[in-house]
Amino acid sequence: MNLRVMVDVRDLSYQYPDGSRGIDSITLEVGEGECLGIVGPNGAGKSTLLRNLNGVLRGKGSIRVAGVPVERGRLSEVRRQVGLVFQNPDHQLFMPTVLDDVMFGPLNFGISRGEAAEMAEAVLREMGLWEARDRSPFHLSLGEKKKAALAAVLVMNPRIIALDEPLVSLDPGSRRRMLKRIENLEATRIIATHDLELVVQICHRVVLMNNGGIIESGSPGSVLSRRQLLEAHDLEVPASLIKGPF
Amino acid sequence: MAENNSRKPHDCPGPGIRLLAFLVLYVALIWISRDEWPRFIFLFLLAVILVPPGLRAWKRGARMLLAALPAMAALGVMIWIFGTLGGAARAGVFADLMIRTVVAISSAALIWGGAGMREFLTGLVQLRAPGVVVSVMTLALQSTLRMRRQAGTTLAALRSRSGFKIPLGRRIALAAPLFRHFLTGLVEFHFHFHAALVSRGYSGGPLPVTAASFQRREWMFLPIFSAAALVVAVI
Repeated sequence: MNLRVMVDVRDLSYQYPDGSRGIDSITLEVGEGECLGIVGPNGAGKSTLLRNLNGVLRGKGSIRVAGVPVERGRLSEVRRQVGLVFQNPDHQLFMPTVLDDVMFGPLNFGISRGEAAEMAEAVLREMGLWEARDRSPFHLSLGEKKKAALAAVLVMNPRIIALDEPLVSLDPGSRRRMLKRIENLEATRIIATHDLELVVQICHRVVLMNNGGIIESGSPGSVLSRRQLLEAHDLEVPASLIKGPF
Repeated sequence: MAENNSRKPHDCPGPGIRLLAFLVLYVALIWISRDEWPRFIFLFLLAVILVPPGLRAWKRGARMLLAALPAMAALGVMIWIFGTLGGAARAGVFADLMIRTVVAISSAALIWGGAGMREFLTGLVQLRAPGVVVSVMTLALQSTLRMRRQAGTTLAALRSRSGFKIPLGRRIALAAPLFRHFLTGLVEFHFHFHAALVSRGYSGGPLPVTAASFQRREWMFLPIFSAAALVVAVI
């Protein structure tokens, strides 16, 4: 597969203000339309990597997204290209109503109020949240909050979507529907998760991270079926890749 | 299946009018002299009675009344001590200050108890408050909300591992780590909050909030409230 490179990370390192290492000399490429899974134990640096991609955190090294370098002065352009869906929707949704929250991004990018409202309506209808548009995000169920958080990013029509644990804490029905939505997205997707079944089902490629570095990368089938490798990094082979009778 | 697109109407009076009533209270708090406290208290009660929480929100109404009770109790104690409320106000600057503080706090409690964050912000938008004011209030309320949640989390963390009866000495010893837990939670929230703002292109201007306007029946309520306030002021 010879895809146009949408995310190009070169020798990226990030250290938190308290001195702890977030990520360490990571080099990574993600192709256009590709769905990349980033897996690893807690504290591996998955979320830190995602936050570096749209410049919320600024590490050492270079990142280019859709050809735009992530650097001061071009952050607005970068954030238009990279949508970031947080692990905890309560951290992401802050406006008084769902509609305000979904319109927040487009209005920040200079889109007129009328057009932003139309865009928000289209996305909210698509996500089945139009009826909840006047409700406070705080009063939604977790599944609805997750959908609202995704809607708030999709409305900006980003070319790259970084999702941090998109299915965590969802009930099976909500999980299935959210998975379908993510699978059907046309944008380049980068998904940080512990949910290896999710990676097996929808990702084209997977990167295993630990201690801030990349340990292994390859197709989900080839990486996630290696029991010793996964157990060495506090992960387990997903049930769908276990061969033979239990 | 036909989709129901009708917006839920505001309670009457809506948040804008209720907020206006409370703003009148604050203005009265500043302008009414010490000798006219009974009049002010009457206005205070009038606001609570005249600004009902809406037919569909009896729980909020109950909250409003509950919020008003401590203030009434505090004022009652002052009357008991000084004979009359006017006497309390004339008793000196300290007593005057106390009354103003009690009324100010209880008015804030009434706003908090009588309207959710969304309503309060909608009220500001209805009153055509400047965007920067709405933004500051949005961010401040978010922080307050998170602070309250974090306090609950900290308390739950304490109770889940210690039960309710904690010796006083232990409580004092726990104060520092609990405060640190609370503070760390808040700092973490603001870290995420900052990320949520900037990751969607926010660069420091007023937050965009959908426009809200008064409904016709709310316009009708405005002269009623104004007339009532005027009557109180004249009597």
